[in-house]
Amino acid sequence: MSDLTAYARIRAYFARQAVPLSGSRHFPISRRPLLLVPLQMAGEAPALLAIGIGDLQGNLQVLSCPNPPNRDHQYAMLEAFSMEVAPWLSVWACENGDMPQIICQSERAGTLLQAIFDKMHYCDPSYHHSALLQETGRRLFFFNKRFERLESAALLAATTAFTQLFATGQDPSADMHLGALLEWIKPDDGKIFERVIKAEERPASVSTDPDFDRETLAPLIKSYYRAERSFDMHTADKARNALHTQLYTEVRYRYDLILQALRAVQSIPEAPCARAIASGDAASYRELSTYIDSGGRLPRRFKGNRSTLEYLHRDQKNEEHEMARLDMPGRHRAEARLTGEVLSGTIVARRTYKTGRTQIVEIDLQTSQGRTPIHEGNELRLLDSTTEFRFRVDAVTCGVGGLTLALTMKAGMRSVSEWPDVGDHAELALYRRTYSAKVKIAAERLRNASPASIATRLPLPSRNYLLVLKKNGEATMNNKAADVVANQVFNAMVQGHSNIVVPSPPGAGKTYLLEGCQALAGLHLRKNSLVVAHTNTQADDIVIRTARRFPRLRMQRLISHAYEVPPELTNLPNVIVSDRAQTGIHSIVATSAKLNEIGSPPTAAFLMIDEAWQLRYSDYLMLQGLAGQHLMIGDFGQIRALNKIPVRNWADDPLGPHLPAPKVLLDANQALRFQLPLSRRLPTDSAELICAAFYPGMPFTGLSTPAMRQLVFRSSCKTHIDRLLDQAAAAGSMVAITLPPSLTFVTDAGLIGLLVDLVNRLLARRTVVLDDGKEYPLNARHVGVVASRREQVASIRQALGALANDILVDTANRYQGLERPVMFALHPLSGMMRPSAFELDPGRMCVSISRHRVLCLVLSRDDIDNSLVNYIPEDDRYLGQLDDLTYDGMRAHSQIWDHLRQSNRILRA
Amino acid sequence: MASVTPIPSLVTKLRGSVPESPPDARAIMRLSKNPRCDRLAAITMAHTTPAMILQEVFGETPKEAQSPFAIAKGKRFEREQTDRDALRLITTLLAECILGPNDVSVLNIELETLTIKDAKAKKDRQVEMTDEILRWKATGDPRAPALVIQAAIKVRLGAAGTVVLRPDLLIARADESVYRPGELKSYAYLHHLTDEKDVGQACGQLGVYGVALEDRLKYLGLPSAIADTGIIAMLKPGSMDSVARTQNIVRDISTVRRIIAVRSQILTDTIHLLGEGNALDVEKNILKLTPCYGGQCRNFCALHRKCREEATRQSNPALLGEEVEAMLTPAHCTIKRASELCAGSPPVTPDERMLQDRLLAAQQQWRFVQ
Repeated sequence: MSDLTAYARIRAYFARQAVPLSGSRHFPISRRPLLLVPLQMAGEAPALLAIGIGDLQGNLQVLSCPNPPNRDHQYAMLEAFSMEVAPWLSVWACENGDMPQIICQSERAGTLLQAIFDKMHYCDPSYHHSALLQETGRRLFFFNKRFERLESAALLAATTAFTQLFATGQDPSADMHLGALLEWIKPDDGKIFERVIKAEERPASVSTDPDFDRETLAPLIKSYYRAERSFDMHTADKARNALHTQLYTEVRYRYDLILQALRAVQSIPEAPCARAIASGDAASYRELSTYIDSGGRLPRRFKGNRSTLEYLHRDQKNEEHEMARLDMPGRHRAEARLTGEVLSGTIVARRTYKTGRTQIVEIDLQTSQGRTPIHEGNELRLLDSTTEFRFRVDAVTCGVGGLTLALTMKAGMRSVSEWPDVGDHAELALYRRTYSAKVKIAAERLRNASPASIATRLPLPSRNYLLVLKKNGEATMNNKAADVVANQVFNAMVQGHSNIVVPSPPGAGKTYLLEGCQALAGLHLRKNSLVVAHTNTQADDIVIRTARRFPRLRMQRLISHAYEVPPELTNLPNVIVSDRAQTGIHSIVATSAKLNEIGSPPTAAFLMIDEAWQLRYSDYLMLQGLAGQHLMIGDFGQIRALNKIPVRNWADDPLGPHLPAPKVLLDANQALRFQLPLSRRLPTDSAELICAAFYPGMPFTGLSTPAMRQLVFRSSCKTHIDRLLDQAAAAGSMVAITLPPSLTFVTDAGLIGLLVDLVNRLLARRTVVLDDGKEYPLNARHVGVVASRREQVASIRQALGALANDILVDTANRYQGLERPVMFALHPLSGMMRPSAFELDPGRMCVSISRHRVLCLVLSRDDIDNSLVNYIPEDDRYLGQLDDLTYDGMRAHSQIWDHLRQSNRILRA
Repeated sequence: MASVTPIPSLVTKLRGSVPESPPDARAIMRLSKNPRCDRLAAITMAHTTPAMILQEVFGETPKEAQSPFAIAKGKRFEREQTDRDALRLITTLLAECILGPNDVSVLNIELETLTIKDAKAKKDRQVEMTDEILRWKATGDPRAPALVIQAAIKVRLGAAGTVVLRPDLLIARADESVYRPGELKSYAYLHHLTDEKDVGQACGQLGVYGVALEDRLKYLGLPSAIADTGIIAMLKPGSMDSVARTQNIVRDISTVRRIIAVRSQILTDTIHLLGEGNALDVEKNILKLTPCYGGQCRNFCALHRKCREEATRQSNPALLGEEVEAMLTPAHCTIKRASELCAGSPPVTPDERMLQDRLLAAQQQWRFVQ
């Protein structure tokens, strides 16, 4: 729920009436929707007691089944249902016909309808053979495929449609009752709460009231059974009619509620983006109709590569829809303004200059917004503009009146008069590449993809490839155990193993190993490799480090033409930066997004994936065919790639396209596994703690003891904060400092104040860092701050003032792969009333507390235990769901906090 | 010398004249859905239910929770699965490779004790039989059946005494040293369309049985490692056969462990709060216990309307949902106060100022989109 909805709920509570959330409707209502009201018999789902078929004009036809558990009766009713809905199905299939749409009373009814359509589609001919039933089922199955899609309104629940447009003065779970929900649109009579309670007494979804079942339905059904069994057709008909009358009343009640809800929904004018949804659904339905007419059948669930394609398609459509929603000035844009995802402000300066033949326009945008998730390097697009303008964010500065953004744009062929000018009001949103061609490319690539061969462990030869590499650059990992693993990986590469996975703890030297692998492939085996990273920054970093370490290795950084190349990269003699794959190159480095958007990507002998746990299996399958041998290096404790679409379809599939690629390969025994044995970044005590909490089953240690890495304060202890620092430095390499328990906002002013005091005193006390025999004075660049949310980052930067220019303050997501001698981490659960899956994500906490070499101070309210004890896990669980990240997070959080408490490392500020 | 009140008498005293209903798996699961509610915890640990309190104390008839059709269907499905030495169920478990080809031994504890007329003696015998089977399993005795139907596991609930929990099934292959809990569910197996809430609820129950097993094994001095998965046997649509699926229940086990550890101590706190001699059979005593109202309460607690009325009187932000509650609570604001802040009332604390800024920004955007 956004702030906008929260505000609207408060307003509705006092107005005693629902308030509109938006002046325009972002989803369509068809001119000829099919209104379906299914009623199930309790305990017999998906068998129907009755189903209502209606239109917008108030015409309702009710079909009932006096004996739902009886298969013949049930299918007879469904056959009658097929005949009733046939006119709708044929109209929707016509060119320029109406948009196909089914509207039901609630989300539960939507799920029940899907089960019914599924039953009709896959009806076993030995149960019931009816061509019409199956034909109708095949067409109705379209709605199953569209239900969970954001960009579709084909199967719509009246409760969902209403709550998308109106806020009520009750909680969201009460909104699931259509009757209670619609009480809120009636004029205020001062008795809204009584009316709602009364409405709630009568079920409005798919089930009937248990008392009604017992007192009315059960005797009628019993009488029908008895009469039927004794062939007393007269009594049976009488009972059937009485039952039908009762069920008609129940269905009519729900149908009238749907009509009421639709009247309210249609009173809000349709926005242009709703048209796109309507035409998308119509086109998709027509396509399906043609396919079915030609004898095709949709499978219940796609398997293998087609399942991946479906996932990719949904993902892409979801992205496109999210972008399209922001193009329209309405509720979603207003919500995005409140979160800072859309920046709304005035252009206060404009500068233009030329680099070569390219005209560059720089503008400064000033907004009154105080927070934004947008940061340097993001690409923004100008909204409400007839010409497409895209800007790169050079800087975001936070002032008293709001944010100021420095933006750069390549003007291209657009004329000066089209450029945004000083004084103009502008709205900008994050530009997301939607790769319209990605699904086509995926289809092409996946057609030829075959499952990987089963890994077999062969005895590895004893050749020492570290010595081979030594001729070309630094080779050893400076630790005997790590060297052994590195050599095993090199041997497996040389031996020709198709899939090699190297899971590693934080700071184990993953990128270092990747550099060695590239050198081995290019300089020793004379084979080329394709290195995949997730972000451009990571890709640049790999190229710079590898090129410096192995100057004879010829490398290419494959970029998109719009990418601004960092100068360090262009100055390297053995590196070519280009947007086209070059020949004679040992190692090409690119992002996975770049490789998945080009039709003919470069191919190589080796595909090496860095931070592999962030690569979804769907994306991996697209890359799979680009090389014969695959090497994946990554850290499974870190934050996983986000799934933006519901994954119910794939939840029980161990080869699910939404899962991290290395996990799938390892679980399916399709890869050889080697594990780097130690963390060179973390001191032993931190490593022990992090290993137990986040890496069960993957033991590792730290390279250095806390005694080898210390902070020494040259100036004496003067304040309470100094005492805390002294105690923290003496206690170990990971210590928590807490404030008294309190429920707080995401930006906890008390905690941020404490953080600033600690940082200031740390720098003021002429602190010296002892780091594995090296000794250097601590400065702001050696300090880092990690938080969970962008709002926290913005507040901390503001509170640190000028220091924020040197201290890296960022979210856990962006801190992945980085380290600092001293880290401050804001505990994700601090001050939380009800932690969500976001805060409990084990990866987020793992990244936050594993970035330090010397000391990590975890700042929190002293209520973590409470938050964990009172955590209410979600009720919902997919059948056969394999992993449970939220629980893993909860366990890890408890373990960390218990350990800190037991070892007296929680200091009270 | 201080007298120690025996636990059962403590429970009886606190319950007063309200009829007894010892907590079962559903009651313990209910606690885990609202762990901060002292009212619900005290009622459960006093061996009664919110529905009974509503009826006996507030004089209102609680609404029937389950339809007679569902109850009949459930019973029939259960009978079909367990009759004839659980032939249908064993066939399913073998087909799903949950049991091995030779794991066909079944023991139905309910059937074995059918002839005992005295309820207490029957329950004791059932617990004894279950204990014996657990010992056999732990020691690798081949007499341990692969499938135990209606086992009776005695669980300690701290200050709330002991209760006997009845898992539908305990399942283990011959080569496994621990039983996995199983549940028979009469709802249909609908592939990925199977209702997530139903699955979640079954997992919750399996979690309770998992912890019960762990506690009993500990009590019997046996190795107390338990399985982290449970089995849900659902109805195969169009038949009376079942489909069995293995489900991860680690989360549920952990939740139940936490709830029992924390909430079983509430009894003594409640007695202290109400004062000696006061019981839960008086309305004012019930209202003295702090509730934690939330919209979800309507799904599992018969007292939710009473708590909602209280919340409405207090202008409690929870009435508008968890998100609004999370937004207003850090500033210690009621809905009424939030409305005043929206209307421009000067904030009193820095937290109120922050909240007002957010609300006014939202108000501006709301007006903008109208």
